Amino acid sequence: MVENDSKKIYSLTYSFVIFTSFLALFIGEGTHLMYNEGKNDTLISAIIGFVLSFALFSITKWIINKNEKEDLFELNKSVFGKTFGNILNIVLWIGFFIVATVILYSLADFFNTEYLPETSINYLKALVLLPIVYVATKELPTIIKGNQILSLISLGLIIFCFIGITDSFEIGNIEPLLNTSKASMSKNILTYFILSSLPLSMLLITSKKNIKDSERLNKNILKLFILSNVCVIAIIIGTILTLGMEYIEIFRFPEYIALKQFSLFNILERIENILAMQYFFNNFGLLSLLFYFLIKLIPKTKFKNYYSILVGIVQIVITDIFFNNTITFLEYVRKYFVWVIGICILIPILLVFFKMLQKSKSNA
Amino acid sequence: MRKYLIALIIIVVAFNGLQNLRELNDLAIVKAMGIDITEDGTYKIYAIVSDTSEKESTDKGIIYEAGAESVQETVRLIVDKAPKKLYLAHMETLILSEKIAKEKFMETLDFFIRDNEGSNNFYLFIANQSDSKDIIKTINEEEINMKEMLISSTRYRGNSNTKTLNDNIKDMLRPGRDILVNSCKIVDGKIKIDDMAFFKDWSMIGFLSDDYSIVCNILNNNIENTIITEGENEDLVVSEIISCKTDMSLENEKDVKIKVEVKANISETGKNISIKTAQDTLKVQGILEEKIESYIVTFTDKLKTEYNADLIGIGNLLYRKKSPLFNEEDYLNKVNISVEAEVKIQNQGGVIKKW
Repeated sequence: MVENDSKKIYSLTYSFVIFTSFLALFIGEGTHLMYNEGKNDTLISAIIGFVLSFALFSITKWIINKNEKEDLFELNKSVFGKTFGNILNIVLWIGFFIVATVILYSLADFFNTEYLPETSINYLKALVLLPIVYVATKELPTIIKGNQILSLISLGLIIFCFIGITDSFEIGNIEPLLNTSKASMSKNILTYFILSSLPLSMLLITSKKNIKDSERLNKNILKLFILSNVCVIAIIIGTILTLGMEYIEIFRFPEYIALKQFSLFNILERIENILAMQYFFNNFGLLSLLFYFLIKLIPKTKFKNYYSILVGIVQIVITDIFFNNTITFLEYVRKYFVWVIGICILIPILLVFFKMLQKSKSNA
Repeated sequence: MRKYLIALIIIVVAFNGLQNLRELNDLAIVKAMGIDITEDGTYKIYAIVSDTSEKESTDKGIIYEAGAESVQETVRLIVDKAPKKLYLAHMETLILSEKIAKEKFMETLDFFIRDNEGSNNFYLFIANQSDSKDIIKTINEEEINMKEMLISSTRYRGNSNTKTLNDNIKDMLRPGRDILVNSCKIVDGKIKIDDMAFFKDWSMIGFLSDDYSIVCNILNNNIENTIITEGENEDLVVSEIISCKTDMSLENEKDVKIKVEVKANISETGKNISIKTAQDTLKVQGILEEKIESYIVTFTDKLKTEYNADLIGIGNLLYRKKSPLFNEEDYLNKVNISVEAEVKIQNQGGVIKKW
């Protein structure tokens, strides 16, 4: 009993999974997609997307509360039966694998662009993957606790950065608002909504039975869901007000460039490296969770300890083949990334929800 | 598995593949750089590199020069002479020749914008009536700190601004806005911060005259301090602007209102000017308001007729407020500009004039 209890996770610690995933996904790829499509209206799209994603949040919360014993993969099998459940799990696995690949490339690309342009990007990928591969073999409570620490540091850094950058805000940069077409606006809102499904799906990494204070779970995940969205929206506002949309568009990582304008009472200046740390922490957290998910679904054999290394190597090879450089990578992200998350993550979760809803109604 | 992973981490760190690692001794730290272009399009670069071998405390560096068809190639060619790679992260000043500013401005800056090592936080100057080469040589000979010179000029004269390359690019990318860049020239063997160069569509058109550089900075909220002189001899009023805030608003589709709020001190007056009562203060405030308004009106007229460039961002205002006028080619000539200046005199130098 004592041993079982020690493997349980506090609900607050567990809830930080949303925070990490939100920031890792949105800062870098998510905002890049949205700025390109929505220009200044990115801010409005993000706020509307946030409001709409409450529906997704409610669905995820309902699944967690309704099913207390199974994680997402087990749930698929029990709800849909072994065959269709496995198919759904494979789809999910592909989705998580592609997201992990994109996040890995994005992180390596960030270091390559901003710090180490002469270093081979494959070397950087390997360097990033090494600790992740190691962490992913650990027990879930260990990963999630580590993630909470990194998230808290990251949150502190975001607040600090935001305060320091306010001096560079130009209110005029936010105008013109509502200047893009309805189609672009809708597309942007949909992008935000679909991307939100990944952080929320991360909550299904384990079941409610593994949460120590499960009575507080609903409240804590709601708090962290709101906090994560507020942080993402604050970063979008901060970047637009500091740089202006025309300047944002020329940079691959505009948030990093915005922090170059940081000045706290003219004493502390240029702290963009703090964002680099925060960016790394969030991506590291999300990659560890994704790797945990990926390894979990592979059937256990005597080589199970090497699965994470294998997945890592495959990712390096795949990114090397498909993403020759940043331009091809960004083209891929713009064209397919949201679709991949929509098809491989959002739809399976919605399917599970509707099936469970149907079952609970028929039981009632 | 743990031991394999730890071994792998050690190997990776030990056989360091982070090829950007460079020791301090391997860096040729550039303080200032000048770029000229020859008739056949070859770049000539002159870089002042900190002299780390010098034991005495001096700002004098070593000038390296090279020439090639691209900026990057030219910078690399200096390796043959330096013999270190130029390190641009601490560069404070970049001087471009007038020819480059007129013909290849963005093409030349492209290298600096992309360069991840540099911060783009340096100050850009256009060499007025001189080659960049001469200016770089004078800077080095006279041990001039261009950054300090620019800051002083902006702070006490108001005929320049302290915008870095980053700020200039940001302005340049804004729809409906043309930019101003500081300039410098050699007068009697000394460097002088000169009239600002103005650009249109990313190419330099010409230089503003001294007074208009100040007016333009007032309108762009880039002024910290400047002097306004009105009248002559007995009617002379000299005031020092200590703060200035300009607000530009669109009253309707084509009416732009410029409101300038100025706080000033009286620093010198002629025989006929005496400020003893509140009425006197109001009178002098009125004189200064009229002066500022007339300056701005003349300048905005010049923008439309002579400069033909949007140096105060009227187009940007139209764009931000979604005015259909923005899409018209000559919107500058179609807007009606009204000016209102409000001057508040803070003090008169702490004296009641008896002479």
